[in-house]
Amino acid sequence: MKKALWILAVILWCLFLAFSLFFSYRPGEIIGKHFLTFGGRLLGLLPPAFVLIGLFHVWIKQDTIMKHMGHEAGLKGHLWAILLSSSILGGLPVALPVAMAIYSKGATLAVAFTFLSASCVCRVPMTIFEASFLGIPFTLVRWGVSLPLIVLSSYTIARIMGDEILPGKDLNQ
Amino acid sequence: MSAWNVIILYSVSLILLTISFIANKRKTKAALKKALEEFLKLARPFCFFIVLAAISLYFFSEERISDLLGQKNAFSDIILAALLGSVAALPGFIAFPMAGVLRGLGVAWSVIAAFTNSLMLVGVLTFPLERRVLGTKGALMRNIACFAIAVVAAVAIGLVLGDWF
Repeated sequence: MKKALWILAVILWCLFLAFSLFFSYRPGEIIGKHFLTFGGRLLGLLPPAFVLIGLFHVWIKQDTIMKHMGHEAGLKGHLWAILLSSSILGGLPVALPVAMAIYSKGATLAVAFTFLSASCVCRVPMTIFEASFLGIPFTLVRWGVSLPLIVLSSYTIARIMGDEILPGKDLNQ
Repeated sequence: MSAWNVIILYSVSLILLTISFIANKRKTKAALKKALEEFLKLARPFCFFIVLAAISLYFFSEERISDLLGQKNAFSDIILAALLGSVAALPGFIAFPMAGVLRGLGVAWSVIAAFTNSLMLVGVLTFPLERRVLGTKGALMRNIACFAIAVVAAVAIGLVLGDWF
């Protein structure tokens, strides 16, 4: 049932793009162009990103992640998560599977949430862009205010979720 | 700038893949299988996200956002800017130069910050993707918390960079 709905949606989307092209419907043409360029850019990032995630799964020992990002790591685990998140390229779509990889290997829920939100705040390529157009003070204030709040909110969210296991967790580690 | 990042990403993963292959063929094969598995798990929400982003890019184009944020300096405009940032899909290399231009036109620091902060932190468009991984409750809480953080950081930037004093 769900699969049928999905196929129907894909057909409708293709029809919409085809009709827009055929009848020169402007909004449809622009949306189609964005679909190709935006999708192309994201899909270009995904193969190497997922290869790295695969290598991580195979080579990194669960003990290592548990020690540095697990329950006994405390605040240090969050620092590691922030550091790691700054290297992410491509935003949330790439950060999500990476967060799930470290979470599946034994990072706490709070650390996984910190990693995700921090990846939105301190990705290096994005930050360089921001600082060059809006100035370094702008970036420094933003970091100084958001990062502590992100860690705080991650603890709170993890507390509310309790022992709940996220659907993205890979259970056969 | 953007192209270099992609080149670095490809180089790093290729080098590591080669090292892994030399060290252990069987493990490398398992890694590639895992990579494909993980990708297929998210393939559908990925496609859905791209469709949503394309539609958002049409309705909230660079020009439209520039118009909406131009001449905005009131305190309440921070929320408007943050809402706009939450639903926009502009990539950073378009959004930040645009923000620089807006600043030149006299738009308040806090309004600009509210827009760029929430653009990065809050993902209304990535919600279907996030929900799959974090669950509805987890994704909802993360986005609400991050919206608040984006606004607070924007106010702090406004205070420090002299919007009001």
